[in-house]
Amino acid sequence: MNVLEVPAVSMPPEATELRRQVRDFLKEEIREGRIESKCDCWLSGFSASFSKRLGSRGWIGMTWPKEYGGHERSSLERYTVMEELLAFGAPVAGHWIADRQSGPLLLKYGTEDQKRHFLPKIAGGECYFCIGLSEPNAGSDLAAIQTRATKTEGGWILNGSKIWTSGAHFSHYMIALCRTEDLDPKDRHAGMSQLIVDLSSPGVSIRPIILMTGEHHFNEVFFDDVFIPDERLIGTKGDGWAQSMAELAYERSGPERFLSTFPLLNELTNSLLEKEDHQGLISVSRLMARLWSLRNLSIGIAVQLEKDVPSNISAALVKDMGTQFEQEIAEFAREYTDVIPSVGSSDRLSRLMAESILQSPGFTLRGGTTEILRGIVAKEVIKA
Amino acid sequence: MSDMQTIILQSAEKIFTKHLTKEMLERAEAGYFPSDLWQKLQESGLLLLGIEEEQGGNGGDLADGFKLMQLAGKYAAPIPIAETLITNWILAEIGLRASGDIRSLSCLFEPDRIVSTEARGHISGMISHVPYGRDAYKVITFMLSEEEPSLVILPVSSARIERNQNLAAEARDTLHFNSVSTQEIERYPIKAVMRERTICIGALARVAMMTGAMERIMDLIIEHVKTRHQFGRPLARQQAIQQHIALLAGELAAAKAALNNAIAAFESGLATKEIALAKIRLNEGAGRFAQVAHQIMAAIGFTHEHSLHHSTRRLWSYRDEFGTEGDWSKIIAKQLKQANKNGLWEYITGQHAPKGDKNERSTIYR
Repeated sequence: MNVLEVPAVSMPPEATELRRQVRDFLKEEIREGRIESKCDCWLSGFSASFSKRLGSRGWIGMTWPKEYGGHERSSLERYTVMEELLAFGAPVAGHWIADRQSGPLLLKYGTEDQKRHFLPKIAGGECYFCIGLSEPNAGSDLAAIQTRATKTEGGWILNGSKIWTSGAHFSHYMIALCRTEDLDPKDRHAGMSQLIVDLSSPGVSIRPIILMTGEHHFNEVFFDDVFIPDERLIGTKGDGWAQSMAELAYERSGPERFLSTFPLLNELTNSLLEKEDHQGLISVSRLMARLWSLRNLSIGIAVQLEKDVPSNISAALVKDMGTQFEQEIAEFAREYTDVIPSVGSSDRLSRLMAESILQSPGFTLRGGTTEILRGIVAKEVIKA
Repeated sequence: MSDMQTIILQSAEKIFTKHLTKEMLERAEAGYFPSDLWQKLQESGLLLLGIEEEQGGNGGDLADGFKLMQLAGKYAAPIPIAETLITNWILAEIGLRASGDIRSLSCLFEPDRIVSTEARGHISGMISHVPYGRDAYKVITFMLSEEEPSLVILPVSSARIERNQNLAAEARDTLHFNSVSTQEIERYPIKAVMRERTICIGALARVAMMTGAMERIMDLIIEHVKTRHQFGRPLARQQAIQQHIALLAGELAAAKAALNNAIAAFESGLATKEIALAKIRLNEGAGRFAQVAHQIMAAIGFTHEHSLHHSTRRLWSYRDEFGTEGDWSKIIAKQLKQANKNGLWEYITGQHAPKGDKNERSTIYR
C-alpha cells in the first residue's frame, strides 16, 4: 500500500523566518482594522486591497519563475504562507483559485504568451480566476458536461453554462472545461478542451446563486455565442480532461481542506484557557492529533507534487478526512460553550460558530463530494 | 528509506514469512513461545538494531528499529521484539551493553508506583502488564523513592509470575517481587527525563505496530473484496463496500503519516508532543479501522478460522498499551495550558526543542 505513504517533511529554516513575517503582517492588518478573521475565508473572505497587499509582499505566485512575476520560493515556503493565512482566517478568496491552480496550470500547459500575459498580474494580486467545471447536468459526473466550443475563424464560439462557480462575480477570467468534439460514448473523456474565458466578453452573463445564508459566493455563468480567440486555448485541444484532473491534486490536498474552521477552534481554545476548562482542553487535544496528522499528510503531498509524484489518492484522502474534521469543529464547539451562534454577533465566538455551522455543508461537497472521492480512492487502492 | 533499511527489513520479512504461519500464531495464543523464531532474530542481529557496535549492538538507527516493529505488527509476531529493543535502547543510553536475550518492561502509562524499597537491602513490589514477562530473562523499571530516580534491572527468576494476557492473547504478566535482595538487582541513577523517553519510545513502538497491523488487514480486505462475489459481481464493485475501503485507506494513510513524522521528530529530540499526537491518532483510528474491516469481511472474518482477528485483536490491545488516548490527551492539554492567547496554531506549527537543548523539558512526569 505504498500509494498511501507520503514523505515525512521537516520545514526548512527559511520557512521559520517567513512564518514570523506573515504573522507580524497579519497581526498588523488586524490591529489596523483592515481585515477581520473569518471562517471559510478562502471562499468567503474577499478583499481586493488585501490581495494586492499580499501580492506586493511577494506572497502570491511564490513558487513561479521570476520572469513571470513569481518569486522562485520553495513549495514549503508557499505552504507556510498559505497555512498562516488560513489559520488567521484572512480574506484571501479573491486570488486564491488563481494562485492555487489556474497559475500552476498555465505554467504547466500554457503558451509563452499566456504565461507572460496572465502570471505577473495574478502574482500581483490583481487578476482573479474561477473554475469552470460543474454544469447544471454535470456535477459529480463531470464527463457529462455539454458546454460546447465550435471552431470558427481565429477562435471558438462558446455556448452553454457553468454552475456553482465560486467567485465568478469578482473574477476576471474563468478556465472553462468544454467539449470541442462531440461526445464519443465509448470514450467520454475524449474531445474536451480548456479555454480561458474573459468574463467581460460580450455574451457572458453571470447570475448569482444566493446561499442559504443569504450570502453570494456561487454563480451560474452563461455563454451565449462567446468568441474565444485561438490563443486562449490551454495546452492541447482534446486533452482538457487530463489537464483538469491534474489540477485537482492541487485543489484537494491543500491546507484549506482542513483549516476552514480553524479560527473557530482557536477562539474556542482561547475561551477554554481563560475558563481553565481542563476537560475542554483534553478534547481539543484529540482534535489536535487529527489536525497534526492531516497537516503532515498535506505537507508530504505538497513536496510530492513539486517533484511530479502522482498524489491523487492521498490528495483525495486529505480532502475527505480534512473536510469531515472541519465540520466536526463546528459541532464540537457547541459542547464546550454556552454561546449561541449568530452571524451578526459582536461576540467573536458566536459569529465564528455561526459561520462554521452555516458554511459546513459545502465543505464535503465542493471540489468533489465525499462519496465521489471515496469511490476514486477505493478503485485506485484496489487496483494498486 | 535508506538502502540499509531496505536490506534490514527484507531479511526480517524473510524470517517472519517463514515462521509466522497461522498455525504458529494459534500455538502462541495457547501459551507456546516460538523459541526458534526468537533464535533466528537473535542470530540475525535484528534485536540489537539502533545500538552502536561498541555497546554490543548491530548498528543501524532507531528509525530502523521502529520500522522493524511496524513489520512485526504486520506479521502479528507473538514475541517481545519491541520490548527487547526498547529495553536495549534504554540500557544503551545509560552506558550498558545490549543483548539479544528476552527483556521486557511494563506497558502501562504509569508503571512507577510498582517498586518500593522495604527493609534495608531488599525490595518489594510488583510490575504489571509486562509483555512476555513469563518468557523474559530480565525486566526493567524505575524507582522513585530516593531524591534521584533510578533504573532497576530485575531478574524474572526472582519473581512470582501472575499470568495475564491482552485481547490478542499475548502474554501480559504481572511480576511480584517479594523481599528480593538488592544483590540480585542492578540499580543505576538516571536523569528524570529518561522515564519520559521510555514511555515515549513505548508509545511510538505501539504506533508502529498498529500501523503494521493495519497494513496486514488492508491486504486481507483487498484480497477479499476482489475475489468474493455477491449479486453477480465482486464486492470491490459495490459502492457501499468502496466507501468502507476508502475509510480504511484514510486511516492507514493517516497512520503512516503519523508514524513517519513521529519517528522523524524523535530522531532529533524528545518529541513528546509528536509522539503523543501520533499515539492519540492511532488509538482513535485503530478502533474505527477494526470495526470497518470486520464489517467488510462480515461473518467470515468473525471466525477463529480466519486470520483477520489476529490483527484486529492486536489493534484493540495496542491502543491501550503505553498510554490510551485519554492518557496522552492529558499531556497535550498540559502543554496547551502553556500557550498564549491565540497560541493554538503556534503550538501545532512549533517545533520541539532539539536533543540536549536546555528547553528539552519533560511534560509527563513532574
